[in-house]
Amino acid sequence: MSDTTPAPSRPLPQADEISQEFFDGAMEGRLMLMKCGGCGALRLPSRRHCDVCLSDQTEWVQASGRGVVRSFGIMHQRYHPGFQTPYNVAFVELDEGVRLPTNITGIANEAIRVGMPVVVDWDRYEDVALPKFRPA
Amino acid sequence: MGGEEPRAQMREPMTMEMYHASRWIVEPLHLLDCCLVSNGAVAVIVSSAERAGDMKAPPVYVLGMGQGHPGDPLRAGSDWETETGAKIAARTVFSMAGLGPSDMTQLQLYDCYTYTVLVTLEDYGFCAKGEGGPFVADGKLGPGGSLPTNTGGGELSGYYMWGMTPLSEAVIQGRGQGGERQQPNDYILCTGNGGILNYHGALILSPNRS
Repeated sequence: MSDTTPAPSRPLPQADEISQEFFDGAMEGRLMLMKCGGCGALRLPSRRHCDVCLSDQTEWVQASGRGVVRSFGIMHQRYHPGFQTPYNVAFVELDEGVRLPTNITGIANEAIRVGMPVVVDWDRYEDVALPKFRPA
Repeated sequence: MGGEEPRAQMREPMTMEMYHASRWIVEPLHLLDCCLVSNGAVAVIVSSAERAGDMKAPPVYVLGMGQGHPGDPLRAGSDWETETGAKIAARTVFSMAGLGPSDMTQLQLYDCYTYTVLVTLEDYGFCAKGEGGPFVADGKLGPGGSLPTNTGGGELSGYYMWGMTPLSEAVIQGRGQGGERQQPNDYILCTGNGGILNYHGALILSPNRS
């Protein structure tokens, strides 16, 4: 290993036809949720069929970007060289009622609490943006 | 409890100091809260009670079975992290066997993490929700305790063969072949989980046919 070896970059998600609108919205700072065209249930992550009514009809709606920390853990095991440990992994329950796996930003891991109100905080890369959340 | 199972991977007695000194994997879980990685195989032969009586090994009878599959809705209102499919399975398995938690003489519980045992004890009604920790603090799950559990070390200390870890030990105990670690085996509750606590199955096994 020489000093000039660049740090390995973290793997980033690639949109597919089911998630394209989610990632298109993310690039523009809009948190988009797939909504069932049959029964209205939100589908997160986006998927072809509704897990409530099995409909394949869909529409997309913009979420408020607000929620609360439902649960979290602190990762100490390093599974990929692109991630620096320790880092937090949290489930945020959005005001719209679905739960998103994400990271909490702008606060020490020790200060994260279940029930803490949070707001979306976009983590922008060249071709993709990821919804993280910071204390509201 | 793996010390009395000669095939267990972890046989050194563990102290609280060793537990707390083990490194974090995902806080709040230490390395010693997590199940093992094992290579191996387990097979169980299932047959009618009539045929089983003619076989070489002593049979173990299924007195009840139950399942509960809450899935993973990731929606507000779901409490699947703290109330698992075991709660649904408990109703079926106990009612089929005509038994309840207080009748169980030993437990073979799926223990992918230490927490899984606590939430399972709560869901089967051995104690109230949220009281799993204080319930086990007196050592009742250990050798000679009032509720011997995972007598072969389970997945945490014995070996990780998915749901076959509790099932294989339940059969060994049901046959009375546990040797030094044999515990009262009249009614053995044996459980398994799948997904991230999304699926749950249960058996009550016994050396007696009813």
